[in-house]
Amino acid sequence: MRRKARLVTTVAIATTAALTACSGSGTPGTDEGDGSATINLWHTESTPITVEAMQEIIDEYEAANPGVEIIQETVGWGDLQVKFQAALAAGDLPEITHVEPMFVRTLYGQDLLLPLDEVVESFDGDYLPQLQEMFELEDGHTYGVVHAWGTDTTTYRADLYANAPEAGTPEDVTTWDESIAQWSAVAEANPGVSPLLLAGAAAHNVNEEVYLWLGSNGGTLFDENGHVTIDTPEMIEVLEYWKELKDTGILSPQWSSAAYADSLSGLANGDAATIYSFGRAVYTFQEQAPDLVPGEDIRVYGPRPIGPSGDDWITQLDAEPFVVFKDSPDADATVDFLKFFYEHDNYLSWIGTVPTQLLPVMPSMFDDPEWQALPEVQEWDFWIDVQREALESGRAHPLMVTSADEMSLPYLSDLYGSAILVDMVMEVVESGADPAEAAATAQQRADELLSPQYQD
Amino acid sequence: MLTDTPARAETGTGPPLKAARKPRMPQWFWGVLLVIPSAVLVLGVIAVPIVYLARLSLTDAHAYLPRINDIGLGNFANLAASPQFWQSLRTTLLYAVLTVVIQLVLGVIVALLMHQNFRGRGVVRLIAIAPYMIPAIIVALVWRWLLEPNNGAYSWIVRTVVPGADAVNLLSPTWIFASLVMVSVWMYTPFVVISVLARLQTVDPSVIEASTVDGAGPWRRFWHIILPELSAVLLTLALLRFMFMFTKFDIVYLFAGTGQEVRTLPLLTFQTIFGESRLGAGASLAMVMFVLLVVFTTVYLKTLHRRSEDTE
Repeated sequence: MRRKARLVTTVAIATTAALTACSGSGTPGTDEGDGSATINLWHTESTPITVEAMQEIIDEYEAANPGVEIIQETVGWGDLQVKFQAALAAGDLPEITHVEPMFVRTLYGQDLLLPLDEVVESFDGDYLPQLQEMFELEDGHTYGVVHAWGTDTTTYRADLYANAPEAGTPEDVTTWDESIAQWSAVAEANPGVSPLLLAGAAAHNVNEEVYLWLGSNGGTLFDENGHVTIDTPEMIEVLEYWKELKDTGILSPQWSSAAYADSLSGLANGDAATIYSFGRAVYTFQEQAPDLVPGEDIRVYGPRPIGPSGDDWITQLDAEPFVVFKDSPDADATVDFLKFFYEHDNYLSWIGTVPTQLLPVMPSMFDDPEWQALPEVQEWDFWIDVQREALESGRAHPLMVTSADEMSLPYLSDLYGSAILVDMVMEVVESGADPAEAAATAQQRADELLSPQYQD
Repeated sequence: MLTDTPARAETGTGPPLKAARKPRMPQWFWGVLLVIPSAVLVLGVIAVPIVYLARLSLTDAHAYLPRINDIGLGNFANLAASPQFWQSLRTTLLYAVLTVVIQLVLGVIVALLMHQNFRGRGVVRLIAIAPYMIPAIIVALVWRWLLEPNNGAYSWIVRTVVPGADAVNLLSPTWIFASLVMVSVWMYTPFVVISVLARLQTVDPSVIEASTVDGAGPWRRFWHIILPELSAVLLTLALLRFMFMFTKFDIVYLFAGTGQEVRTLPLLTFQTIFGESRLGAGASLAMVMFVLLVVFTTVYLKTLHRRSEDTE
């Protein structure tokens, strides 16, 4: 009987111990005090050659720093928020990650981030000021370092526009009215071709279009007190313009189910004459339409048409930063790795994988013969120039930011993650709802969502 | 054997026991001890998350904010006043009812066909149940490609059959719900087929033969003999499939996205928690779904119980 009792007790203790062990013990990345460290690195550049370039940088760093292990994990751009939030709830954040610019302020507000001044100082002043200013927060420290940047551009098939010579090109258009007249002429001259194809399948893309059209119509998503403002005349004009584009057949009937990649294919295949895209699109064009001549058949232009209430256009600045979590068990190694990443040869190998979209954060690199020798830079230099001009103009703002002040609002991501703006657009453009009513409904929903976070 | 039972000690038939022996633990103690690991596991993976969820649903917890204030039933009151919630509930119910009804009707028809004797029946059966074996992500991507309005197979067929015609965009907000129902039915009907086919194979063939001899045609045989035989399995399937479709997330999200036309309760919960970062509000939605599922499960179990009593 005693043997049985001992056996049962042993089994019970072992089971409890096993369950306890399964519940987790410590986090990856723990420095054992012997110089060893494991750094988990998340990034959103999932192009295989870019992943390979990062792995080569990691391999070199690990070889030079025995005991340090760096694990890179690529996260689908649209999945980052979900994955990030789950990790935050579980207390299992990576050491380094890319984030959308709007999240830096949110994470800083929760005292989660490590200042990265040391990384920026390692640039020795060779860092684009527009990028540095974005993440220099109230305490004067820098909490995010941009890995590369690019801007959204009007991308169009000049050969299709040439079929309507009297209509000109997007460079000749300034206002929304002019754009409608031009696109109508392009449609007439190119039967079966949609003058404009927007990507509307993903909520993210619709959010992008809303804030960019709104910003190009003199509107903002937030007022001077930081309160969300949707039911404004500027927004209603955006919705009316969007609806007119759809109702007149200028906007492709496929837009609401078109993914971003579909819009690139649409332009390459000649199904659409105009899209809004980033520089990575060149690979789609090279693959799907190798006969089109860059700069002749395919051209880009920075400005968007300006709405009746606007004075100037805005465009999107894609500039995701690396951030480091301050509770990372080995912050020194993490910062040291980032400094290594930005060393000339390493950094060039990273941005060199997609040089038309991963533009360098160091201005000197634009004059670097090695960078200039990259084939894509030579062939698509006009596209890079347009992006540089957009950044220089000060009209390129990160996602959901219609004016620079809004970067300080900690709840941009809440509005972005909600479906409020997307629902509003779809109700008007696809279901024929009244723009003013749809905007009022969206305003009410946004107030309910964000007002608990207002400072006043 | 180590079985010194009290009865043996009392009867005195064995050798005398030592007086100083320590008292033994009662039998229930060992039972409880052995149950503890399982109980801990069940509590850990089922009860604790539900209690935590219920607790969270009474707060204004936010993913990125340090606040977590008790707001009582505030989240539930907000839900009751939210047009988005009611629209989502309607969408969920419509999706579940439509897909289940079509699955059952199609499933019975296909199962009856599969039950016939014909050459290559095994291969046809395999093909018929194949959609259920394909991962949801593959189903979603393949169907999106097939229905793609510019270059998909569907638009090619429309253009081939009616030259010059524009194919309706079945992935647009106007049509996406209908497309989702179709894809869901395509994917999950094989489950019904397998279940009904299994039941059909246990129907006594002599009853069918006797009715045929008596002059009953195919429709009367189906209506008066086969359908009553299938009624138990169909009822079970209807309840089970309804619960599955009511909580379906993967194919809805992967194929149709998060637009309000297809925003079922699981998607609204996902949107609230991961999109808007409102953990408390999302938890209250999850609690509503949990309570509804408890109701459905209760109905299901009671029905099963009543059926088994009728059978006995």
